[in-house]
Amino acid sequence: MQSLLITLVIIVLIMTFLYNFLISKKNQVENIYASVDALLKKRFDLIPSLVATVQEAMKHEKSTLEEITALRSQAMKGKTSSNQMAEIDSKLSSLLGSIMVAVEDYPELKANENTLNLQHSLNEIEEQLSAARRAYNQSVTDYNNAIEMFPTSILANYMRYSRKQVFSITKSERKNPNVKELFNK
Amino acid sequence: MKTLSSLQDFFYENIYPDLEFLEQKRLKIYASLKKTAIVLLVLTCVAFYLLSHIVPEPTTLLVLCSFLSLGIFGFVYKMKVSGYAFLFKDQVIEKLVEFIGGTLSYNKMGLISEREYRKSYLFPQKVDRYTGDDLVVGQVDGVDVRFSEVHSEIKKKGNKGKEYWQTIFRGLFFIADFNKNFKGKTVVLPDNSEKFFGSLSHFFQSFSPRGELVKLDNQEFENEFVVYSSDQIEARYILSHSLMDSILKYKKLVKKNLSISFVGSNIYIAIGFKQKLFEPKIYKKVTSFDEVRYYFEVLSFAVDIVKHLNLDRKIWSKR
Repeated sequence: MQSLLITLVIIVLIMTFLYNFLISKKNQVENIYASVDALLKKRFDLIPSLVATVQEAMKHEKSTLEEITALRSQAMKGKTSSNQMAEIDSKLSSLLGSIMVAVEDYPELKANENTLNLQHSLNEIEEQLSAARRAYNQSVTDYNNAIEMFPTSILANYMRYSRKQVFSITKSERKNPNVKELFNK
Repeated sequence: MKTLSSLQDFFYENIYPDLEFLEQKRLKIYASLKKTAIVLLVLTCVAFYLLSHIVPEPTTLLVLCSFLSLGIFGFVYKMKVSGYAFLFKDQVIEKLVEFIGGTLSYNKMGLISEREYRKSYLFPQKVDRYTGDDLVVGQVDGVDVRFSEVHSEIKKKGNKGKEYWQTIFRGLFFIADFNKNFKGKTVVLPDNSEKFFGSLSHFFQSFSPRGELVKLDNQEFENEFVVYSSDQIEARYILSHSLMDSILKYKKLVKKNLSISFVGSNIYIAIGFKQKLFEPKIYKKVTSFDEVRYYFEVLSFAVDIVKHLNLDRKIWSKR
C-alpha cells in the first residue's frame, strides 16, 4: 500500500513538472511574440509617414507603395494570427527593403532630412525586429520540440497544443551585412 | 594594426639603445642576487652546523633558520627587482604603447577600478583581494578604450582550516564604448560543458543565476560560449551574426579564455592569462626582440579588439 502511494506521489510530481514545463514554453513564446508584435506595430506606424514622404518623388514605385499600405491595413484590421502576421511581416520586410534601395536613385529624397530620419528609424526597427524574430524562432523551436518529444508529447496532445510556425528569415538577414557597402552608400 | 616588421624597425631605432643600459643593470642585479643567495646559503649551513652541536634537538630551529634565509632572500629580491621593473616599464612598455598608436596613454601604477570590474557582471563572486597595474587609456580609431592587468582573488579555507587565496580572474581587463545604451545585461562566458554534454548542457545551464539562457543560432558560437541575458531580444540585437563571427575569429587569434559582457553602454572583455603580464624576467636577456614582441602581442590583443569587433564602425547610434 505504502509503495503504491509513493509511486502515485512520484507520478503526480513528474506530471506537474512536465505540465509546468509545457506551460512555461508556451508562455515564453507568447511573451516574445508580444515583443515582436509591438515592434511590428511600431513599424506599421512609420509606414504612413514613409509613404507620404516618398510617394511624390517615387512615381515608378507606386505599386510597391500601394502594396505596403494594403499589407499594413490588412495587419491593422483586427485579429491576426501569429502565422498570418509572420507572412505579412515577411512580405513587408522585402517590400520596405526594396523601397529603401530605390530611395538611393532619388537624389532629392536622399537629401531630405525627413527621409533620412525615417530611414534611420526603419533601420533601427528592422535591426530590433530581426533580433526579436530570432528570439521568437528559438522559443518556437523549444516549444515545438517540447510538444513533439516523448514524454511531454503525451501531455501536449492531451492539452491540445499544436505546432507553431516560425518567422521566415529573409535572405538578406541570413547573410552577414556588408558594412563597407552600407558606409559607401 | 601595426605589423611585425614595423615593430622590428621601431625596436632597433627607439627601444634597443636604452635596453643596453637596462641589460647592464639587469646583469648587476642578477649577479648581486646570486651573491646574496650564496651568502645566505653559506650562513644557513654554518647555522645548521653550529646548532646541531649546541642544541640537543635542533630540528625546529633548523627549519626556522631556513625560512628566515628564504624570507631575507625574498625581501632582497623584491627590493632590487621592483626598481628594475619600473625602469623597464618606462623604457619598454610605455614606448610600445606609444608605438601601437592612437591617443593611448600608459600608467604603470594604474588599473581598472574594482567598481568598473564589478559593473561588468562578468565575475559576480565576492572579491577579497583586488590588484592590478599597467593601465592604458585613450582612443583607438575614435573609440574610447581602457584596459589594464587585473588580478582578483577570494580567500578560502582548506580542509585543516588553513587559509589560502584562490584566483577568480587574472589577465587583461578591457572596456570600450559600444555606442549603444543597453537596457539589460548580457554576458558571454566560455562554455566548457557544451563540449562534454552537448545539448544536455542547456538543461543545466538554464538553472544558472546569471540570467536567462540565450540559445543562439550559430552552432560554432554555441560550442564555444554560453550566453545569459536579462533580455532575450536585446541579447540577439547585440549578438548579430557578424558580431558572433568576429568574436569567434578573435578567440582563435588570442587562443585564450574570453568572457564578454554588454552593460550600460560598454563592452567589457576579460582575457585570461596564467602569468603576470608586462613584468621583466630578471634571468632573461632584456635586449632580446622576442621578449619585446611578446609584450607587443599582448598589447595588440587589447587594441585589436576594436578592429576585430568593428567597434569603430558605429552601426548603431545613441540618438
